[in-house]
Amino acid sequence: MSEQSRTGAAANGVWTTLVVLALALAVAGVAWPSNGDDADVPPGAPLMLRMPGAHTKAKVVPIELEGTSLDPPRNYTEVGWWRGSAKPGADHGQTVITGHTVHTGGGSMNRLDRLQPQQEVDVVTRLGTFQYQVDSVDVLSRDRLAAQARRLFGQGRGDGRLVLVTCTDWNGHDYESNIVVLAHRYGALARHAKNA
Amino acid sequence: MGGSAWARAAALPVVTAVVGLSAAPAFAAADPPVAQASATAASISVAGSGSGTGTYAVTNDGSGQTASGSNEPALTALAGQRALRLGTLAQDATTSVSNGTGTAAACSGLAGNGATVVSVGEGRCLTGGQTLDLSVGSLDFSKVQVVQSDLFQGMDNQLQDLFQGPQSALTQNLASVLKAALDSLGDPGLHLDLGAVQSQCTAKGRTATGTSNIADAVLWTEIPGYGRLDLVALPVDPAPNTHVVTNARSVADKVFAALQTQFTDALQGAADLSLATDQIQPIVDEALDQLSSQLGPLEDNVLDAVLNEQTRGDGSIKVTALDLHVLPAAKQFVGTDAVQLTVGTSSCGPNGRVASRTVPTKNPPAKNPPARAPEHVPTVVTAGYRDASDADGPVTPGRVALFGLVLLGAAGSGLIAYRRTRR
Repeated sequence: MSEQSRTGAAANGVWTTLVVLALALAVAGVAWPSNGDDADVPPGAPLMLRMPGAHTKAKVVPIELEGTSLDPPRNYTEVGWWRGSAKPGADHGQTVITGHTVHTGGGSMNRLDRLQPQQEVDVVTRLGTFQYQVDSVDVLSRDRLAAQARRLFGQGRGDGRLVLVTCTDWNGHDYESNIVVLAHRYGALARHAKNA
Repeated sequence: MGGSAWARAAALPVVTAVVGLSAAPAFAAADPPVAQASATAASISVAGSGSGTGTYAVTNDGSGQTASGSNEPALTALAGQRALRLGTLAQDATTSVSNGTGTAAACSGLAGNGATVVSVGEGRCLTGGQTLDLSVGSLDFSKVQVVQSDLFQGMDNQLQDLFQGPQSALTQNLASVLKAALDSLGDPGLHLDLGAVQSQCTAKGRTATGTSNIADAVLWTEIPGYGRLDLVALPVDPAPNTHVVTNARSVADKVFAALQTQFTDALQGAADLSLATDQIQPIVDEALDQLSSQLGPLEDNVLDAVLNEQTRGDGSIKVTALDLHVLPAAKQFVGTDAVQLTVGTSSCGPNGRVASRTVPTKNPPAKNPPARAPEHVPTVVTAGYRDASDADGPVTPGRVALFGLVLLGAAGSGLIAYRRTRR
């Protein structure tokens, strides 16, 4: 066997090994039993928002308040967690997450209005998943939203509930209203437990 | 991953299911039914011995309603008494479950003959009907007698003692005349007229309410020689826990007046006594003075009644339209406790909720301190785009693939260029 043939055979062997190893890791990643439990999960910055009732899953990134305006991330497939609001898992304040509705489709919260009371919403953090149950889905005009801002977004109140916000009522030029979803937290799963 | 890990993975849901199933009865025992209610039309007891219509009770566990007792009570259920012989009884209860929340309703009561029983949940159980006359004085439970002729029992002996001192023919005749007058009084009687007495309640979720209605209800006594004396007319829609106080002094006054008339008439009619009018009054006054202690209990307790009696619990209520204790002082006359008549007892709740396997309703206990609240809150949320061109798009698999193709193309181009260079 020439030197070139030996080199090719070695490369082929390496690739085969890597493919098998990758497949094995993928299987292990799905089936490996969880080490997590339902014990205390500390509050943490959100990483992922899951809304099964709206068939939506979106990456969460922190956002800041600009004046009194809260703007979601420019990437319309992501949602933004207002860094000034409570971390998921906190017992006080309110966790505020907002995402874009895109009139032509594809926004992270295009289907927010499909949520219904009692449906589940999950917020994933580095250490676990916090489970919320939808209490209400309301459409508020911009004026009403402003009037109720303290109730909806104030951090001196609330027991760690989740507030989801996006826009609605496209009039051809602008969005006239907001959809506001309120949900209370009812459980927490330590990391990996959700998939066990 | 080893075999043990696979075994653990497979065992986890099995163990969870077994633990869940074994723990379920314990939780079920601690929680109230989704909805529950009960109703009792009437019960009556004397000296702890009583009878009644029994209780009709319903419970709902979220999948259906179960009942116990009868919701068609009969007057014959009130055995051993003659006070209530004609009339219509009603006791009914029902439950329902909507959106996981239980609702319970009950109503109960009695009315005069001819009353119509209507469905529970429509407010009152009974409409129309004649007025009942509960002649409490005619109660006849085993060996128990209430008031009746026992009221004046012993008074004749007092009179004999009063006028037997001198042992003269006059005083002996006087005592005989007064005793005959006392005997003629007979039984003053105590009556309760009832048009309709009923209570109803509802409990929805954790909220419970109840009311009572009492129509055409009058407590009256009849004194021979004086006729009927209304003691108290019961209010139609009594406030919760209305305590009825009779003008008991008027009862005693009427009895005194009757005795005075009877004694005076007897003395005036007794020709052999030959008493002048001004001689009769002091004798009557002295006789009544001696008897006053005997009539004392009449002033204390003719009637003890509570209307629309309401007892509230956490998400529950028990309403009794009429809880009547007749003559608790009867014990002094007949050596037994008072008569108790209870009409229209309705209970609703407490209700629970249909258990949810996936979504509990309560928040976990507090465990973290509050964060410092920011000074400002959003008043505007600008979370809308007209189309994707307004914003940065996502890093999609298509974009990755496109980038990969470009990279591959670039690499291929570079390779071709390299080979050409080598030629």
